[in-house]
Amino acid sequence: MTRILLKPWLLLLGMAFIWPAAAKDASIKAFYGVYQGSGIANSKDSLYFGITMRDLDVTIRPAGDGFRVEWTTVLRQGGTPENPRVRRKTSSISFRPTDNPRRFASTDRTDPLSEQGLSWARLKENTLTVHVLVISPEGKYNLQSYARTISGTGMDLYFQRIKDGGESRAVRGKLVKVAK
Amino acid sequence: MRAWQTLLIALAVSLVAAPAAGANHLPIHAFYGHFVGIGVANSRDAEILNLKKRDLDVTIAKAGDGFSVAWVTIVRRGGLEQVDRKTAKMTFVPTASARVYKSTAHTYPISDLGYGWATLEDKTLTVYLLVVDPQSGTYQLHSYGRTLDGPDKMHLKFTRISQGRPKVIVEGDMARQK
Repeated sequence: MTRILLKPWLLLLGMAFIWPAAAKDASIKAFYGVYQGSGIANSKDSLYFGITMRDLDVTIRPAGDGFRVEWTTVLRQGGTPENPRVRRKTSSISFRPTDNPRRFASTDRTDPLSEQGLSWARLKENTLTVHVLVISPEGKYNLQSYARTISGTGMDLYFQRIKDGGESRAVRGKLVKVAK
Repeated sequence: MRAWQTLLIALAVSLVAAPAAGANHLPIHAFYGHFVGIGVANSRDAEILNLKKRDLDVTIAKAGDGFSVAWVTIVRRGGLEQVDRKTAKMTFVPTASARVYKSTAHTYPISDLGYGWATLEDKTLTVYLLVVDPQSGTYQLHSYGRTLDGPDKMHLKFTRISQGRPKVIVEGDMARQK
């Protein structure tokens, strides 16, 4: 019995079943679709004015050799319960592949000193992270990161904004895939 | 001339002579020179490894239409034994914004050199460097704020943000070398 247990090939076979598989990066195609959901903002202001709820829409589609991300955020902040103040903001960024399959460069946001800023994206496991850097005319930076993680039912969003001087904001959201 | 007229004229003259509000930023040439001093790192790793002290050396000089910043940082274990020496030089040119300069060589963040820019505000010249790792896509943002405290003293505040989190902060004081 002991002799059987110590056979190297048996040991290797056992390890193949027990050893956890290395995490693989999802294909960008896995992110394609239309997602809808909501998120909660957390910032220094939230402590004083309450946590801000926001509706989130995201569409990721193939575009040329790469892909395009378009997202709309609807904020309800201030006003009255009957008549809340609503702000709607839509943004989109197109990306092209680079020599690295996990990294994408923006085709329409290429200058951090411009109003549109500079953007790039990275793919790691099930998360597609889009970064946007904008440098203001005063030289202050505003660095935004949108990490979108796909799951069986939809997508988790973690948004973070870092500004010069340490002011930051974070939003966590959950979205459901509503169309391919 | 009556006293109130004299006072009014004096006030008008002082308003013309005084710098406009918010326009008291130092000119870039005020930073030109060679400064040397000591810095202290405020990070857990630096404390554990006894690597908190750094020798600081920076030279800021005119370069074409812009300026260059060359700096040397020597890390010493326990403040004595040299364990690391880093040198860097960046050259900046003016942009359309009066107080913003961009690097001539560090022009694309997703590269080994990264993207560099500099700003001038009040008495502080801040150099920024954003480097995105070409393989992983993760980023590091370095900022070197150098504040003149009088004509011959300079305070450095270096911050490194890695993937949204501040990792290292070094602060130190330097004196102008003559």
